Amino acid sequence: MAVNFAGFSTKNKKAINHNLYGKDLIIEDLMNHLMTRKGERIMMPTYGSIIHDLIFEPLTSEIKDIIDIDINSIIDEDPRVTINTLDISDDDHSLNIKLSVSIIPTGEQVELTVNLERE
Amino acid sequence: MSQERVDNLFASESWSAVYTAYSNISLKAYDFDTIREALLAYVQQTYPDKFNDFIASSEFIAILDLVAYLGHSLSFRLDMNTRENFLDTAERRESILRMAKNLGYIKTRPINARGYMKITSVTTNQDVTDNEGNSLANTTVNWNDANNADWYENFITILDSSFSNNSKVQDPTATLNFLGIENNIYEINENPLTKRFNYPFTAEIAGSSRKFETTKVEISDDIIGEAEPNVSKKFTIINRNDNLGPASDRTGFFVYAKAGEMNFSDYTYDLKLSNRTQNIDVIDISNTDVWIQRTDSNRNYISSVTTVDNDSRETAIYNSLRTGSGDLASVTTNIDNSIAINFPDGIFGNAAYGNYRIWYRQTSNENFTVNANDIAEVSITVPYIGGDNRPYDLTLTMTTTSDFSENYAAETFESVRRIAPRAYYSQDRMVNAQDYNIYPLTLGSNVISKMKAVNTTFAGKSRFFEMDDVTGNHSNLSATGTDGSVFLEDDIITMNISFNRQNGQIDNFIRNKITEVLKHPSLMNLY
Repeated sequence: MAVNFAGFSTKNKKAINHNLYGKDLIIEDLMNHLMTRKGERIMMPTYGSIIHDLIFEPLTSEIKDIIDIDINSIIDEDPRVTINTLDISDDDHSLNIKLSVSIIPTGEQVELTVNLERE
Repeated sequence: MSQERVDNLFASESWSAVYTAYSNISLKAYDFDTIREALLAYVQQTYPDKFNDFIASSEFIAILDLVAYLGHSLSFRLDMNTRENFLDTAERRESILRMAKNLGYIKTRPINARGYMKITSVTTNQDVTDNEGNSLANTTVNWNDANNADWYENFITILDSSFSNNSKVQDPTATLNFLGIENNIYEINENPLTKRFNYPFTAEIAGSSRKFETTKVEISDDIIGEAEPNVSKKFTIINRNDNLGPASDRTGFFVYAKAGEMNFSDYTYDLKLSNRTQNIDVIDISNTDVWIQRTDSNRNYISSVTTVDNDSRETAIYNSLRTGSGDLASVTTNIDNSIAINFPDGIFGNAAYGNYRIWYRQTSNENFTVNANDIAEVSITVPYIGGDNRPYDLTLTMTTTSDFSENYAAETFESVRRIAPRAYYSQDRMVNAQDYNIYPLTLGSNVISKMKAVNTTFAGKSRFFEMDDVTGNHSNLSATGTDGSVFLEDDIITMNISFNRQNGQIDNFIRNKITEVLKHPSLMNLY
């Protein structure tokens, strides 16, 4: 029987009375992890992503590799999802990350976009 | 109305609701990990149907982590504050010193080595002559010189030339006979323009080059000790004689020397502040060598400020009465053996106002000993004004012929922690057996590491009497009386005294006659 994930969010619009469930909760958790700068979380210095520190770096193949490894490790930490594709690009004003993940319990595929503005 | 409904309505006042809340608290949780664990366990147990997102990226878990961190931080600070408020558990040195001070206990700073140094030779550049008319200028005369039949006369002649007019050999400025040794103090007529407070020298002791200085001495309370620093005082030499001949270690001319280096700081207080504290940020100041003086605006000595042991409790009043002067101050020890001068409040002593000079001697915070002959043939040169009112130099070469008192490192904080409460118990006096076991320890663990005093009884007491209680507790008191009687005597006692109004002295009359009459047994009041 599939587990129905029940959680909490103060900022997700789909959360009614701060309650969030299922796919929405998993995506919310994933975004929380991606949007947390490494070292920011109290008492958990290795939690979070390093992409925030690389926004202003030229997007060379080496930098892309570093971001790729970082995002993959973040996805791997959540046992409820697997990564399908990851696309890293940039324009004049932002670093853009598009990733496709599958929700393991339901097999549902979800597209996520992270735009980190260089301003 | 059911009990459950009552509880729901009056939840905040229901003992069962409160009890239930407390039963869920983990009182073992006090740091981040344990508090976090307890909170997670509580959520798991209480809301299994509402929350199962137990992953670090969950927002709720992030908030829970924050709460755990706050609990951890509060717990740490509460714990630290509590520990720092007890002498047994305090770790911060400042906390230990403050609590000890609250008990009237001052940490012992280093105690510097001190002792006599025998003058082994003297030289002067003054043109003095021996009894045959030979000049002794720039000639070194050794004490007890086997090659010089006139060594004693020459030695005395050179020293005498440097002494003050009121202090010549055989006419000392002060004398003390102590344990069969005659001590005479002579003053050198120092040149006021080039004189120093003390004359320093260095010596290699216990593997280090250490500073020493020869000091002026004075006799106070039948003790020869360093005189309070004062520009107007003159350098002193001590003549000692134990009647064992010139080769004796305790016969000859000596100077008093101390380990360390004397300095002073000047302060001016234009505002009369109550309980002013003056910190002197010089480390390792000697436990004994601190003097406080009032000075004028040109820093000339006016009067001395009496240093008292402490200014807390009833001693504030006691000290003002005992010294009869309002110029008091207590010296307390800071963390690094620097000192703080605590002036009075203006009621039980004069609040600091005007110009002050504080003298202090910095010394080594180490344990070491200066034994006989450890310091050999060191020289100092004392400038003096000769009898012809011209400046000359007297060079003294000195050697330690007997051991100095030991140089002690400062008391450890562990010792303060241990001794301060006991010293408070003894109340600065040695009365009962416990006091005798405690009070000497206040000198610090470096001076006395362990001691034991026991009450004893004396031999010859009748075995039929109850022995005194050797533990120091009071014995039972038995009071007995036999053949007691009380009676009244109505006799009229007449005593005749006379006073010559023409020639008599009223003082003598009161002192001799009236007091004689008052001593009569019939005037004694026995109850």
